[in-house]
Amino acid sequence: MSEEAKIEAGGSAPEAALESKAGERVRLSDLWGEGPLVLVFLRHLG
Amino acid sequence: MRRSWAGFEERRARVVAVSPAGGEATAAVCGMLGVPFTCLGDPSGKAYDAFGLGRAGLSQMVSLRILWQSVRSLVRGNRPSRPQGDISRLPGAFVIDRGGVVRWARRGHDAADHAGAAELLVALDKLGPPGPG
Repeated sequence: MSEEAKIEAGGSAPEAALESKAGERVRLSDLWGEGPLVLVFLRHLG
Repeated sequence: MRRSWAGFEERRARVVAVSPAGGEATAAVCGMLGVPFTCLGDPSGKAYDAFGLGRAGLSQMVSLRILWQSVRSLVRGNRPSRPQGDISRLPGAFVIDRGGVVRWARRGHDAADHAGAAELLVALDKLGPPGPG
């Protein structure tokens, strides 16, 4: 837990890359640049 | 979230769901469920880490509240498939504006502690009216 970032409202969002259906990297900054982004992290898939 | 989709569209927000599985598996499950938003994977867990979403302990994964949420989901007709990816990850939700500033953040305290669509829509309303587009 100690190495986890503490991202709070008012701070800059961290840059991170996610994986698309085709296995391509999708940068978060490309997502929020298009408009407000709601990013929902699921606890697991399924 | 699916039932509130129109509200996100009205606010011109992009909704992205992230799972700890790979991108292909994540997209497959989202397609099966017919969700209208973008689904991406984070198999390395680096994005979860970057947003401070850690791993749940046993008490955060097994509780009456979590069991109750699972029962409610089943009653609603959701049929879970075999979990994929790191099943110990805690959920969370964030609203980020066009400048890359986090405007709203919520980290789940346990596996069942999800942000609701209503509170996400309120957070979007606080950003002000959507721009042209």
